[in-house]
Amino acid sequence: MSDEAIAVFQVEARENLELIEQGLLDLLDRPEDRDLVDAVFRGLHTLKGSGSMFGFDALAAFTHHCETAFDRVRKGEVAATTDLVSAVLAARDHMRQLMEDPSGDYGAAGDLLLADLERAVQEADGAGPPAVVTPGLTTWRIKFDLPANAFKNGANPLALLAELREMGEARVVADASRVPPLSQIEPTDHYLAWDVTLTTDQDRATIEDVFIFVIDDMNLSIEALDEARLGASPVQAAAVAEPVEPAPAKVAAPVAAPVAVQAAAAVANDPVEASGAKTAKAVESVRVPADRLDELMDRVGELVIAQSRLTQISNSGTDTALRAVSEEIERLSGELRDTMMVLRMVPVATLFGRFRRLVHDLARETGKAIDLSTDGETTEIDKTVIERLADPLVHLIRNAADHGLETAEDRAAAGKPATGRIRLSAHQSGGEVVITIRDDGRGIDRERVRAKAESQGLIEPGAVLSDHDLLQMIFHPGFSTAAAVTNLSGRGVGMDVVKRTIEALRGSIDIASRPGEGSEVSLRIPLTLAIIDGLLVRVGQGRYVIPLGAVEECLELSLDEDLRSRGRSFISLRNSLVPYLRLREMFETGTPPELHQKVVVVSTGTERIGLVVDQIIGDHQTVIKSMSKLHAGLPTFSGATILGDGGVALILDVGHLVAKGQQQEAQMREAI
Amino acid sequence: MTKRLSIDAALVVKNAAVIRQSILDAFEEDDTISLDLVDDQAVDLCGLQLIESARRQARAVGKTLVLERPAAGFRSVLDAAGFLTDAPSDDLQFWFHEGSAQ
Repeated sequence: MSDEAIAVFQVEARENLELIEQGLLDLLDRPEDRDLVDAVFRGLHTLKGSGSMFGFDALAAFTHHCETAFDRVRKGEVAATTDLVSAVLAARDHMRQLMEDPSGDYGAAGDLLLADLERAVQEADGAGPPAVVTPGLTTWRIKFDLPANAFKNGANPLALLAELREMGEARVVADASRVPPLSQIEPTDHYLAWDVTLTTDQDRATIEDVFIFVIDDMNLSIEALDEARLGASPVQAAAVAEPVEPAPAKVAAPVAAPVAVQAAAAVANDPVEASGAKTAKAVESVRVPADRLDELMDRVGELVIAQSRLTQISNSGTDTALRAVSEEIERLSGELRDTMMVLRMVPVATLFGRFRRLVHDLARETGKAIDLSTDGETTEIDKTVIERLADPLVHLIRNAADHGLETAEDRAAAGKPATGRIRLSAHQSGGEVVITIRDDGRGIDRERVRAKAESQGLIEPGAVLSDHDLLQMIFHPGFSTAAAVTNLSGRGVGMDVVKRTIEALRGSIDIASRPGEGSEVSLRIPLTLAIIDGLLVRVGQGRYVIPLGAVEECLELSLDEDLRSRGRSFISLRNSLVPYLRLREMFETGTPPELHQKVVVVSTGTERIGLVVDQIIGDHQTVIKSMSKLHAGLPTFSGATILGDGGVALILDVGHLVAKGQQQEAQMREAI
Repeated sequence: MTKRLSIDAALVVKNAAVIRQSILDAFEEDDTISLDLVDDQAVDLCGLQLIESARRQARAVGKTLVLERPAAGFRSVLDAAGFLTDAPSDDLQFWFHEGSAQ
């Protein structure tokens, strides 16, 4: 088996395990939901089958036991109790381990888990509905065929037939009548059909289960030859009414099928056509390695740079034809960039989904009742960003569960409902996505934060700090207010790492907390890391880019106003004072101020400041290049970009500048 | 004349396209094709389907397709797949050279 095939199996198995987990977690809320039970069972069965196909024998064997146990839930013999579902969840983690590390020796751990599972099943047995009474022997006529892509998808009809044979006395007749001559055959398509007569004590549902993985795409009719004993349901009766022909093919979706499939459909009949539509449906989504997307993104970035050079050249000449082409290319590359962005976007639901399990485990570990609700899961964000957000969010949720939420008794004493709530929400705001984690716990204890900060020498004893600054203390390395280090959190390696990770994503983190009512951490993350729309400005001789998403407005700063405000650096903007920074002074350009300086007002959502520049050049699609290691320590800049003329412009870090401006304002206020 | 076509590759889905082409090419060369399958050759349903398809091709173009030797090794797969249940005599003749000689 090639490494590539195994890697594909592992990717799919991971997804499958994720679905199993989600299904199990949903099952905790809705234990009666048959669809969920079926979905989980299908997941286990697939994992077992594909695991054994790819040589993951330990995984297949272990999963087989879980599947057998869970089968009893599916058959309605035992109830999906919380303990049982939790045992399967634990087993799922073990499967993941077996999948990731097939050569590891986990036999003993697996046996323990299976013993737990067995116990949970037995306990649930008492709670569950009575076992279904097995009917006597019945003879069934089973006709089926498989979709054209069955071979390619690894379906194994021989295994299906073997399973049917295991149920009782079976007579299998292959129907090769639809196999076309060699010149017309699509060699890997499936054209066979079967007619099986089976005498068994099993019921119809059990027979259908044999086909559980292919049933969506196949034609299947199951007809009881002994109708008196087992009435057929209306749907099945419809299939029986036409026993010679397979059940009607599903309506083909109006999607263009690939040419090869259409050709195959032309020579064969209905079932192939139906599966042709299926193939077309599969084409709707394609799995692409992320690094290929990154590569494409790089290319688009280079194209955008080349395009801005072209624009610059065409604008400097008088060639109208060149200008027309240049504008066309500008529009196209803009569209290409937008399409590229969308390609990389994934809904945060993929991220939020992981936390349900985390909260489930946290609730069991801490003994607290925790309710996780999520909001805005359809908000989309760059895939790379999503991946890098996972760890910080895990930390924040652990913190909320461990430090934030009180025990049930404390909550009752405080007059709160016993179940603590953690709310995870996301929404888009301009070029950013805001993710908030809110809990309704005890809130951050300011006194303890202060005491800890003083004992660590972060602040002078008795120093006057704003509430905001005090809360910022928790982002210091090594800072933790938890009295005891628990398994979950309190090691003090959390919040500073969280903050650094978020800042590395060009995002910002903010925390708000009300004593007794809970805390809220908000993360503001840019939608993408690669290309931004920027405002190109000139300060002295240098050119700089301000992310356009942060720009609120541009004003002129007259010489009078500039002189008048010297030493105060505030402008009055619609009755509110906005502090501003003279970039010319900050960057020490050594040039005299222009006659008509401009103020670019930027904000980070809540705070805003003005940046005084010499000239506003215009908007600029900015491909962000990261700074060299040598310059990584410069907080004023978040990166650099290459301009159309080949020059370099630094990208201003708005968050940092706003903080600096606010600091300046605070100092001014103190001075006054 | 009989063209002997020896097929060493396993008669399975991944080789199906190649085997199909080599049989089609052989049909171009001669009126009678004898497939020489190695003993204990791996076979799956897709491979069986391909041989069935080749038989149809022979009938359609008025040529003859036979197996060089009885495919005893295929019996279990053919049986499991239900190809041998109520099989007409020409099927048994084709696969196992049973019954009257062709």
